[in-house]
Amino acid sequence: MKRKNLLKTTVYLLLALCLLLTACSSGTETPSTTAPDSTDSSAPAATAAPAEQEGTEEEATTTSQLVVSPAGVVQTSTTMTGAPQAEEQRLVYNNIESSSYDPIRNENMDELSSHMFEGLTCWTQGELTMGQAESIDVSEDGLTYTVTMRDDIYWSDGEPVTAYDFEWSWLRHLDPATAGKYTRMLYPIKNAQAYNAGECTADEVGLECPDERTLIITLEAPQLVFTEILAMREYMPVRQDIVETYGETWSLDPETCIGNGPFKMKELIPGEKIVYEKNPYYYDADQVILEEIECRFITDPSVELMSYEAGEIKIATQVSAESCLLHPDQSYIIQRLSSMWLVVDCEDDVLSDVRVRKALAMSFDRQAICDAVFKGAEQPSYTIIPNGMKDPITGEPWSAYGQYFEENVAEAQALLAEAGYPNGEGFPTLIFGTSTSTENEQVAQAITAMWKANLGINCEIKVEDSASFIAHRQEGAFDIARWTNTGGYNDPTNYLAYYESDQPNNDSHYSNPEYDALLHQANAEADIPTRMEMLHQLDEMLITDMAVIPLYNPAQKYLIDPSVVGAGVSPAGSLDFKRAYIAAE
Amino acid sequence: MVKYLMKRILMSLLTLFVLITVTFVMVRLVPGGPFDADIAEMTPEAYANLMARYGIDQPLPVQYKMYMQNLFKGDLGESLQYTGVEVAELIGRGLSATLSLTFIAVLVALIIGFGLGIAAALMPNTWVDRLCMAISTIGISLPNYVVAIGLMYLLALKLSLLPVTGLSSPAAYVMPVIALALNPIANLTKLVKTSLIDALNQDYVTMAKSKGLSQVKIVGIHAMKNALLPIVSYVAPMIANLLIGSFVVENMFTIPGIGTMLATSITNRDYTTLSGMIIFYGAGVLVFALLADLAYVFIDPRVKFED
Repeated sequence: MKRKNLLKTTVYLLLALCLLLTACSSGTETPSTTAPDSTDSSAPAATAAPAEQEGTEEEATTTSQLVVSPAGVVQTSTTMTGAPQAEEQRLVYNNIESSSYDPIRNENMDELSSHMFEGLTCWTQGELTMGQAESIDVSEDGLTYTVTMRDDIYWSDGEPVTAYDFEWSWLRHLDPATAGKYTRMLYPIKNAQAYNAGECTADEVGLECPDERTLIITLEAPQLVFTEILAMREYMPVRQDIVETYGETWSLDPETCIGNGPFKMKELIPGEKIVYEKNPYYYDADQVILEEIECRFITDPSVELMSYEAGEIKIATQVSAESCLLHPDQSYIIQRLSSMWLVVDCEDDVLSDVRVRKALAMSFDRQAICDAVFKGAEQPSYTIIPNGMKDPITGEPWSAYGQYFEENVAEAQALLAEAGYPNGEGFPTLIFGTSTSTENEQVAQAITAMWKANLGINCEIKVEDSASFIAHRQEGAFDIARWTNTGGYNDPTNYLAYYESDQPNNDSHYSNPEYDALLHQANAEADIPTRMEMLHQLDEMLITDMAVIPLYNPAQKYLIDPSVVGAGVSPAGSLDFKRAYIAAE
Repeated sequence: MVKYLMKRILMSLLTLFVLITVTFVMVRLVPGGPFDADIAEMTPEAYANLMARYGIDQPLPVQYKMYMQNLFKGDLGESLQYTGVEVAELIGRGLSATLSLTFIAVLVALIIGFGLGIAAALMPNTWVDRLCMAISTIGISLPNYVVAIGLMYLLALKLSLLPVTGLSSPAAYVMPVIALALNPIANLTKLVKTSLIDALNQDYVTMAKSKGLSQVKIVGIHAMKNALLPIVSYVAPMIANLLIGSFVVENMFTIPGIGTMLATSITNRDYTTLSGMIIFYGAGVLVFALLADLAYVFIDPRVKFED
């Protein structure tokens, strides 16, 4: 009898323990239940309550929605007060690992490479500034850029940086034998694409070095923001002798990873962390306050959050909107050049009817999705151009210009009926493709539930791991699939060019000769206001034809400890610490 | 014996060859290529250059022939994800991180597992027995990621005793080792207990007792030796399992081991790394299976290999 009781107690205790432990682990990981369910919701799912926070701690009731701020210096509470510097200037943070730190091989954002390398221009605290260049002169026709280099620039081993270094690095990137992935970024340079395709020699590429301090760049066509493009990692220089002596793995060893940026590599443990230290040869070293930066490579967001809460890392970069809400006073939602939309198969029997595509685009509530899934951290979008994209002359955000469609369920229903599917009768089941991630799946469920409720259309959601998903999307295995583009620079062409008829990534299979012609015309236009006008027309054309269904703008989410002062975020969403410091307690 | 060994090794090599071939074909049948994740960023020119650099643009039989030729020279090829890094180097790198951790985990599992099992067997139906069985039940029922995150929450976040991630200090080993060893401990405890009780009920034990042998000698030398047989067949794959690394535990504690490497090579469709890993794992499992068979001979004189 006694034994039985003990056994029972043990079992109960175990069960309780299991529950407790699973509760701990699931806190930040499991899908939130606030997202509308895809099953039979009779009312439009759009009205599903956003982010229910009532009943929890007081901190949650004060901020139940997140606020998005523009790129620039992250304004922590200590920045405002101009807090004094701490004695030990060491910053530990977390981000995604890169398989290489060679700027052209780095497959993530510019960030981890740009601590160590600097282009002719660079981003400092969210502002575009001159980097290794002293001045850049542009010819009248916008085709020739004459760059004068600074005379006090050195590599981290003390060797001087010259214009030849830049020329050699860019040509190396374009060399077909180098097999660079992101050569696209260099294509504005004359003959760069031809050389990359093996159709001409390196001599024919529009680069010229009359002397060590001068680089003359000739472009294929005028560019909107070429000085901004020059700041990208594809334009950062690497050292010829190092690359040639040590081969492709030169960037994985602190001894041979020679850069020209504010910091240099001190230690690298692949899969665990990278440690940077101040580069004494950097021309602006006096302004660099941090002595050391350690970047961990924690991939599990719940572990990262725990690490942040335990004070081991001062900046968390893989945070979900829900974890931001746990620390509303330390969360920073930064708008970046990023956009999420759906590609629609315009060659499909049913979806080729523009009325059907419009009905789909107009019949779900983007704001409700942003509020429910992202707690307001992402902003609804009615074009594929990110809201944060700025007009190079006026500085106005793209979204200020106009909106080419509005959400309107009644009109959507009418359009669908006109197309021959009143109340969705006779409409085939659509295959909606998305890739594995809690948020992607929630968004897919929300959209399809609203289509079901508002239009009577059924969808089958296919969730696949990202490599399979991308391959299937390109093969056209889905009727509708998500598409996201992040980063780049303030040039809408980046986005609009995907939908030229013969582009390999035109997964909407949109083909409009008028669109193609205008795109080519815009690419050749030197007058910026005229060019912007054309780009707006292209945007309007794309949305009026509803070749894509815009969704929202993903933001960069950070948790930043108040002791970190002056960290900057570039429009593409990369952190820079050139002026950052750790505040004294 | 020698003839048997030769036969076993030949069979193992044949198995390995089949494994390599099947893997080679299978990884290429999975939808999505190694560079597809960045496809939106790549121009057709850049894509073609990449495929050419790694020879993936060749027809499959040509690729297979090249791969096998290199393999015979002991060359596993270059990783498709880590430009310029040899697969062999990647495996070595991962292995060193995994080994430093799992060596301790194996030791801990063996010591505690045997300790608890023997204690439970010698004192059946006492509180000791029940405690051991309770620990064993917990260990079997809790998945290691739950153990990991529970420990992190308690020991690192709430009590601030240990660092959350990494292996930078001896203290950092505590949580991953527990997370890895708990399940083997639980299984071992149960197994050792039942095998030992079984052995202790044998006639020769009664005889040894009647001859006045000490308890230590009886358990340690006579009973244990016979109890070991079923345990060895569990321990060999257990060690192999721990050595090949645990993706979940490594990933959570941010340890760059081979478990993580295997998982990322699958997500990235890194054909060469994935094939290399599978060859390595396959060889490892075959070696351990052979070692376990050999261990039988030494433990149990009744076991003999047919020539």
